[in-house]
Amino acid sequence: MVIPHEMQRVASWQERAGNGFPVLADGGFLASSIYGIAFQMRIHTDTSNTPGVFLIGKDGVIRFLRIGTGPRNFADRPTIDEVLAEIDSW
Amino acid sequence: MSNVSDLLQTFSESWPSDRKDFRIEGDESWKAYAATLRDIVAEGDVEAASQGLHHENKQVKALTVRALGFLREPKTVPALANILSADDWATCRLIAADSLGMIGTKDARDALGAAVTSEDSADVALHIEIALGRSSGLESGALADLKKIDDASLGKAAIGNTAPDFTLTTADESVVTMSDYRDKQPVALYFLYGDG
Repeated sequence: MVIPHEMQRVASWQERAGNGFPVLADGGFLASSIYGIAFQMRIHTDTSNTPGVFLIGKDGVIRFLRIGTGPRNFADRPTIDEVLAEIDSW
Repeated sequence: MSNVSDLLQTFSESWPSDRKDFRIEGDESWKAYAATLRDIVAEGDVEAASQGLHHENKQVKALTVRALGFLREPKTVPALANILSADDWATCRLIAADSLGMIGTKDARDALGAAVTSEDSADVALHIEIALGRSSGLESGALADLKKIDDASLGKAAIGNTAPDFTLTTADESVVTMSDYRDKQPVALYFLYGDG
């Protein structure tokens, strides 16, 4: 998981996520800019990030992506079932 | 004009003051936002950047407020405090709260504390609370990361492409690099937003 905040703000997300996978601090908008989700969230301003999910194969190639779109893009993300179905189809 | 004035003027053309919230699908003006923020911060010219607070375009003002948070010059606290307490656009007040938290001096925290009782917007009030809850001002890693944003890499993640590389840290300072997973395991990359 990538959180658009500094390290001091991601500890609470790591607690919620457990230790199974890393929660990364992206307070400088580096990864979110590269992955095209920075500064596009449509709540009080579109200077925040929209959600994004990317599935990357063992070969390092992007196989699936979903970047939040539409007037409620902050709520546009695939369900867990959609993500698992995508992985199962590989 | 200084470089920063030029940057703000160019940004103003892609983010006009009367732009509709929110832009149509496929609009790529966010790239101008990311690049301009990076460039203003990299220039480090606080005096020139502060002129953006008086720009007629409110989008330029809001971007400037954010850039001043990354620049962390204590002299800019009164101007940011004034925006937090008096600007009529909640978005600008919200970013001012973030930036005062990033500056993190006693004056900045006092300004946040003074604004919390009179703030009408729940969103802005939340950002004031978060800013007051910070354990320090802006972390050096976040500043360094912002400066690393490369124009050619903006939005380059697409199906069929190699996942663009980056390195970030976790809360316990573990370093994670995307390309280290190649030929080892698949990766699910979830970008969250949120104020938790």
